[in-house]
Order: sequence, then structure tokens, then C-alpha cells
Amino acid sequence: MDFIALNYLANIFDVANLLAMLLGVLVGLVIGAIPGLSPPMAIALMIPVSFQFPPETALILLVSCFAAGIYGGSFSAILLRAPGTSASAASSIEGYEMTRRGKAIQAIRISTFASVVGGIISGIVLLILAPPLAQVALLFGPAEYFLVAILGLTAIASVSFGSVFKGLLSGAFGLLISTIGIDQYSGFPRFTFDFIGFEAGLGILPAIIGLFAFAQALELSEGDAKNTISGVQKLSWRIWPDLGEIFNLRWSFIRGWAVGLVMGVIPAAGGSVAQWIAYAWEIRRAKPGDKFGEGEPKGLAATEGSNNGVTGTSLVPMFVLGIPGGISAAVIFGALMIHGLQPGLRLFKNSPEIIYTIMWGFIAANIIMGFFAIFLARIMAYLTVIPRGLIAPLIMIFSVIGTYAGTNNIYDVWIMIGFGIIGYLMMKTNFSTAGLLLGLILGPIAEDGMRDLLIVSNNSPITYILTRPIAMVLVLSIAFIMYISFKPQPWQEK
Amino acid sequence: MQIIIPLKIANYLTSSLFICLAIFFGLESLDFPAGGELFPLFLFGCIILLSCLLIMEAFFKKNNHTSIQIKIDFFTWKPLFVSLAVIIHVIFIFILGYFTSSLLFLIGCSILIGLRDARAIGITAIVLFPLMYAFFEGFLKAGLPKGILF
Repeated sequence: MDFIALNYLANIFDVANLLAMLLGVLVGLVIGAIPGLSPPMAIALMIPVSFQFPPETALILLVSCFAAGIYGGSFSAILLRAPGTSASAASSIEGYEMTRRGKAIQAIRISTFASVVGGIISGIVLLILAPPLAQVALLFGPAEYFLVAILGLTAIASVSFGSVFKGLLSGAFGLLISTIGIDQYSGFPRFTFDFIGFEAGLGILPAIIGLFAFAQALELSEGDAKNTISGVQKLSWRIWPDLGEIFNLRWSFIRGWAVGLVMGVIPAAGGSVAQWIAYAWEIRRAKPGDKFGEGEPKGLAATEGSNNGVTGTSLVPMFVLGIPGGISAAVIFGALMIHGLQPGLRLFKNSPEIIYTIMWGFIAANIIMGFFAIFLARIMAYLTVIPRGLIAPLIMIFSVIGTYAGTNNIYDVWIMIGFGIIGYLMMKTNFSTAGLLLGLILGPIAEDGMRDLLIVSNNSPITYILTRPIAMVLVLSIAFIMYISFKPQPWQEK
Repeated sequence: MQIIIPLKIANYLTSSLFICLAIFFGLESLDFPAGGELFPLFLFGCIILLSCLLIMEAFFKKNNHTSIQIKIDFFTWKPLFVSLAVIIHVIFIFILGYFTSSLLFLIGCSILIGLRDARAIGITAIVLFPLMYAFFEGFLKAGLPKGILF
């Protein structure tokens, strides 16, 4: 392990950092457990709160929220067959079948062990992999930065459910609206339409809250208000530990964690994809007597291990290159920029106390998450029975107060509402809200890269790119991701 | 009443909308000085290309029988009314004050969505608003608008 990283281990015992972890874990577990509400939304709602803290504490709050949100999603998936997050969808197959067969306690236990250990391992891999990979960022010029932005968008588009073209269109539209505001080169206002709120450009905070929280609330406002989100009114279960059983499932856990760790590092994957790969692998390894689809603990162990195994490693490409490994990482990327931190080697060289404290904080948050789960599991499950008619207005109230408290600018509230309505329409037509957000975030990087590229290449960018090995690797990566995106995957058939 | 739009047609419509948007932004950007038009024009080309590819995908895709059903009734348009309620809520924040406006919004929006459970709404308000006040005003010192009430 990197020696420098060990110097900052003690920082996580700072009272503010510990409180941030507790708050992040609590909010993540609560929101993640509510079907229909996602970890990106939990992170988005926590960003305004994070303004009050120094950057490392703020980011610890958000990464804790991320880890706990993914785990929280498994509760409703297992107990109600209503996944709290898309990363828990595969868990609902075996998990809910176990609940139906009176094995809910065992299922929750497996989920907790797989998630906590998977998250810790993933955090350690993040700590080991990110610093050396950050050296690569030193070799980047304008061509590479432009291509990294395109790669990031391609990556998010490829995990958009539905059409890849819709994901790419969302990203391109995000890039286009990122040009709204004063052009930093000429000082000329672009696409402001004389609206004063557009002069400073579209903020990342209103976009995040609008696209992920407000849009979700609009969707929840549909249908019968008295219905709970999960459609279930009563719950009854208990938790007891059983380590012997966990030992029997060790290879399923290991396969799940391995898939999660690898898929996290690959920008394009994320927990939503990793869990299906892990599940498919587990089914292929099935032995006589295994009952997949009827509450097989091996299937649950693999899917739960994979979706939390992703969490830490999905932050590797984000911290190193600014390419988020998934949707939640894209939202954290936005928060990183809001707090004035630029991904890459400079982050590791100039602010080691911040970046390493965040990484240690992520590992510690996973441990805290395990303790919280023991005490709060039952309460969290009851959150799934709150009527939609109450949840939707509450999210909207928090979206408005969150945006206003973050910037004290009423124009940002209007922009947030605009993004919320656009996000809702995008969800209805299967366009990618994450793609739009990432386009907005990566827009300035891509535009600067493109303008500088045209200058250094004497207006011959393609010839210039052909002479740059890293740029060629990025072009091939974009081509590879596009190939994977258009190739039907076996787990998509499930 | 119910309108059924095949997914194929819906994709044609959304692609056409993106093409119109791209043309509008592209034409607007022609006047930008000092290279400010380069990136928007590049994106103009990308969006037109991707929209055409989406149209072709919708045209050639087999088994594309999925459709979007739009019922013309109150439930379908609820999100629109809720959006209007939020806009009114934000306007009233500066007239009545943040907490009064939010309380009225919580009650009004819950009823609009269809929840008529006064006890649930009341308990939520009693528990939530003091916590929100303590957190945003006491802890974060957010300086929320006061208005004529609170």
C-alpha cells in the first residue's frame, strides 16, 4: 500500500469526518431502501449540505452516501421485490424468493456481509490503484482531454437502458447546453436569450438536483397516492447472524466481489451491469441441487457482492481521469468540481490530505454501514411503506431548499425546476439523464480540449491524434465501448 | 380517451425535436466571435448525425412493437399540475416566507396527488418542519426567505 496514504489514515478519526460518515451512511441507507429513490438522488440532495464542510469532509459525506445507498437498495429488493436501486435488480430475483420461502433473515444477512466486505475491499483497491494511475494523466495534452470527455460520454451512453443513440444524444445535448453563458475566451454571451440566470452558465448543482431528485418526485406523483412505493403495507422479520452459512458461500462471494472490482474500474460498467454478469457467472457455475430462480443463496451472494464491489473501484477512473465509472460516480464528480477539486495527478500531488482522507473515509464508511445495518435494518424497511403522496412533495421541498441553500440564488431554483421537467420527460422517453449531466460537466473540458487541439494541430486534428499513442488508445477505447454497447449481452436477456 | 403512439413514431418525433434544437442552436452560434462558434457547431453536426441514426435504428429495428400510451385524464397530467404547484410554491416563498409556503405546498401537493390522510400529513409536518428549521437555519445558517410570515 502507498506509504503516503497511511499518513492520512488518522484524519478519518476527526470528529467532523466521523459525523459526515454517519450522516452519509444514514441518508444513503434510508434513501437507498426506498424503491424508486436512487443513490444519485441521495448524493444530489446531500451536496448543498456538503457546502458547509471542508472539501475532504464534504466528499466523505457523499461517498459514504453512495456506498450505503447501494447497500440500502438491497433491503427493499430482498423484502419486497422492489429494488431500491438499479444495482439491486438482480438481487431481487433470488432475494425475494428467499423471503417468500421464509428465509428473509438469511437473505439480509448474506446481503450485509457481501456488501460490507465488498465495499471495504473495493475501497482498498481504490486506495492502491488510483495514485499510480494518476501519473498517466501527466501525459495528457489537449487531444487526450478532448477524447477523455468523449470517452466518458460514450461510457455513460453505453449503460443507458434502451437505445445507445439516445444515451449519446443525451450526452451531446448536455455538451451543447454547457456552452450557455459567457464564453471565457471572448467574453461574449452565448445562448443566454437575455435571461440573467443564464449569464453565469448552467450550474452543476441545479442540474444534479433537478435531473435526479425533482424528476424522480414528478414520476412518483403519478398513479395512486395512497399506494406505497413498493405496493406492500406490512413487514415482519428479524435478523440473526450465521457465519457458518457465509463460509459455505465463500466462492460465490469471491466471484461477486471480483466481478464488481473489475467492472467498477471499467468506465461504462457500474453496479447495474456488474450484478447481471455476476449472476450469469454464478448460474454457469451451478451444481446439481442448486435452485436458481427459486431462492438460491449463491445467486444472492454473488449479486450483492458485485454491486458493492463496484462502489470503490468506480471512483478510480473518476479521481484519476475524470471519467465516472457509473451514474453515482458522475454525480460525485460534479460535487468534486463544485468543491473546486480537479481530477488527475494534481489532486494527488497538491491535495494529498484531501484525496487520501476521502479514500480512507470511504473504507471506514463501509465498516460503519455494517454496524448501522444491524440497528436500523427494520426501520429502513418500514420506509418502503410510506405513501407516494407524501414522499413526492417532500422530495420537491428538499429539492427547492437544497438548491436555494446551496447558492442563495433564486435563478438556480428555476433552472433546477427546468432540469427536473426535462429529466422527467427524458425518463419517460428512455433518454439518459446521467448522459445529460455528464455532458454538462464535461462540456468545458471538451471545449477547451477541442480549441487547444485545433491550435496545436494547425487545424489538422485527425493527423495530430494519429501521432499521439495515448490519444490512439483512447480512440480505440471509444471504439471498443461502442462495439460492446451494440453487441447484445447474455444478461440483458434475463 | 387514450392516445397510443408506437415507439417507432415516438423515436421519429424525439429525433426531429433534437434536429430542430440543433439547427436553432447552430444558427444562433454563427454570430459568436473568436472561435466561440466552433464547439457548438461541432455539436450541431453530432446531434444531427445521432438523430438520423436514431431514426434509422427505429426504422430498421425488427420486433419494435412497443408503444407509449397516453391517457387523456387527470392522472396522466398530474406531474404537470404538480410542476405548476412547485412554481407557485417558489413564487410564494418570497411573499409568505419559506416555511409557510412549504407547509402550504406539502398540504396542497399531497391533496393534489390524491392523498387525503390528514393525520399522515399533519404528523409529517409536525416532525419535519422543526427539524428542517433547526438544520437549515440553526446549523447551516442558510438564510432562507422570511416573507411576511415565516
